[in-house]
Amino acid sequence: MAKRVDDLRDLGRFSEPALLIMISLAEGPKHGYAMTEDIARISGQRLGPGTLYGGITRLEQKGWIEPLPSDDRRRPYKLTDAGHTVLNHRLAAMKALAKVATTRLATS
Amino acid sequence: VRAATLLRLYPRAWRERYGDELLAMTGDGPLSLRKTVDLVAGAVDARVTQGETMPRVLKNLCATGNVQTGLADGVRGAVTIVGVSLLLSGAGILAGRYGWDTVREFVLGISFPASMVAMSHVMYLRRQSAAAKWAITGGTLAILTVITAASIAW
Repeated sequence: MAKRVDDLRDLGRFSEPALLIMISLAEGPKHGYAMTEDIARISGQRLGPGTLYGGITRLEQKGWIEPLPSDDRRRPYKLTDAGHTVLNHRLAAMKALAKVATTRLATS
Repeated sequence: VRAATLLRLYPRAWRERYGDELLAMTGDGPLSLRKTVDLVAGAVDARVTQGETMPRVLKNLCATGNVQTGLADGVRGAVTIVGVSLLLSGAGILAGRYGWDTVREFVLGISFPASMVAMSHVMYLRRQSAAAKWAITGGTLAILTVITAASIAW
């Protein structure tokens, strides 16, 4: 039986905020405020502080992101190798789904 | 409402880990209604997912209730509850024979709850320290005595 790859969808209602956080961090390390601004810019969604840190907590527990040392109160986070793999996996699944949806729309 | 106020709703471990950076992000000023609701929902989520919905004291009490008991403990408990119950009931009946009706009423009234306390002493509390064991048993018996005596007096 094939080993199941950890999936962002395991995070329940935090799967979408977590996906947005990971996409934001794919560009490079960012702290909370920078993530919120970047996510608002790329997706049009402004995550509230509770939602953002709910997502960060889960991603850190999963080992998909990690904090970087900081002298500032604003701690930056970066995507880990495991997080990179999970994000790639999720984006591939979304791409396949988008392809099916596009094909169906074109033939309907 | 300010974020620092709402941060108190989060579990202590969460606050120590993420509190500073969250405050650095939200700033010290009053929050919008949307951010307030979002932080309160986040606090509920943090308490549920961090397993701190139950106060530590209550958690310890529940853990005490889950004391593992074996067959020997069960037998010891059964013998104690039946033995103490019979002993006190016999003493009450005997007191009645001698015409000590108040004593009879008191001893018969307390016989079953007292036997339950005695059973707990040898069974569920057996791993507690002697001081804790006697404080719980003695305290409960003292309360039972007062309640039973008061119910007879009034």
